[in-house]
Amino acid sequence: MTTEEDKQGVSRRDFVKGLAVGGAAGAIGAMGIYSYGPWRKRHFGKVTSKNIDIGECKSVKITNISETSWFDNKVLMGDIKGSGGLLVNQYTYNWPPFADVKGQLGKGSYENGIKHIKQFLPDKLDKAWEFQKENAIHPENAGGYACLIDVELLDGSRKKILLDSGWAYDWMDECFKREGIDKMVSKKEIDYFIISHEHFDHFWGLPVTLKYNPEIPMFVPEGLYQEGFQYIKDSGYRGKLTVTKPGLTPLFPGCALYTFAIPIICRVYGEQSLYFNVHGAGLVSVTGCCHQGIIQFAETARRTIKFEKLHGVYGGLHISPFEDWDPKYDDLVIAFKNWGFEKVGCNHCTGIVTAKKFIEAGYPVVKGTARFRSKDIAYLGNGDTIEFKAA
Amino acid sequence: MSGQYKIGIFVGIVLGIVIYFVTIWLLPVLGKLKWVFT
Repeated sequence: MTTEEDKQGVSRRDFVKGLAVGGAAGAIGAMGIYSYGPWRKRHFGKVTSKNIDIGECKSVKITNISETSWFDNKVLMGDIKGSGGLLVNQYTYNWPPFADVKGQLGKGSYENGIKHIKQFLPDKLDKAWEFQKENAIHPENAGGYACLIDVELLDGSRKKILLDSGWAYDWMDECFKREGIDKMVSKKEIDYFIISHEHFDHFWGLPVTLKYNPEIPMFVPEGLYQEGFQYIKDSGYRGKLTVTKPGLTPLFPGCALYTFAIPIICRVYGEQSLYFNVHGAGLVSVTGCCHQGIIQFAETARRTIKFEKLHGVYGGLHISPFEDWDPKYDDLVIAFKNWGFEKVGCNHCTGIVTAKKFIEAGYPVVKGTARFRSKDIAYLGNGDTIEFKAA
Repeated sequence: MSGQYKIGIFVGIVLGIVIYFVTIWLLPVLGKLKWVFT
């Protein structure tokens, strides 16, 4: 049967079929064009940054006083495992300077340790350390972490920050004298004495700084344990102690402290790090051990502070502190690229293995000189310096 | 493929694009009128 339409060579059915296929194709195509076109942006809400303006400084120069917190990984890990593992209270290890008489591994306490040296603090540190040499577990393995941060402000004035005070009294005193820190502290040239966290290798060398100025303005993170506060008292501290709350604490134009409320191995809680906004260069992050993790450290800056770009980082990045390696650390090395740091001054608990992987990956790692018992030129060693300023 | 089918596709594509963009353009207006439906 032939219809009138067929006779005229016109098919309404074909037209409707085409209309349906074409309509669907046209709508889907339009969706695609719209989704990738600039018009889509009219649906986006306007985002305004709530980040805090910490101001700007002109330059930041960091002198590595000591990054060798301990000298033998095997000895350190052996002691920690022998004491019961990484979650055990660090004051029970019978490590210096809290050794009891003929201290046994894992059987110590703050009270039993401090009673033998309290009368020597902070002036007669030689005597206090003599006792440790005779009674503590592996006193020869103790080193310490500390650095001097010299900041030039936009008006040309300077601020000096001492970050941490190391561990072994004899080693830290030697390092302080080598870098002239003893004289700076004595002359009250240090504006801020900041303890990054309570770990033995950053905090237990406290009397070495207090020997030169027991009134130095001191900052500790909230989360310090009772033993920590007692040690500050027992070390003869007489100055103004500031306990920083979790979050941002601006110190002076271009500089702020950030306290991370985090649990850390060896029964420690809380760590604070520093951010500097360097004019024309970008944000410089300075850390003691970075137990918060480099990702959280960089992400917090991005979320909290107003700055142009991430420029540099200095300190321990806590990736392979015991020079072991795990495939998951490779992810951190890869992720590190995303932050676009232009100058990397890593050392301490970053691990030499990690520093070498950074170099292999082509990151701008500033190499060191491997002097004063630092083991490798792959990172900034003891006595090395790094400066962050506008090019 | 007949001539009518091809014409149908062409008209359909044009209509599809026009209807899509008109809908997108109308969405904020429709959004404001949601009280009508609730």
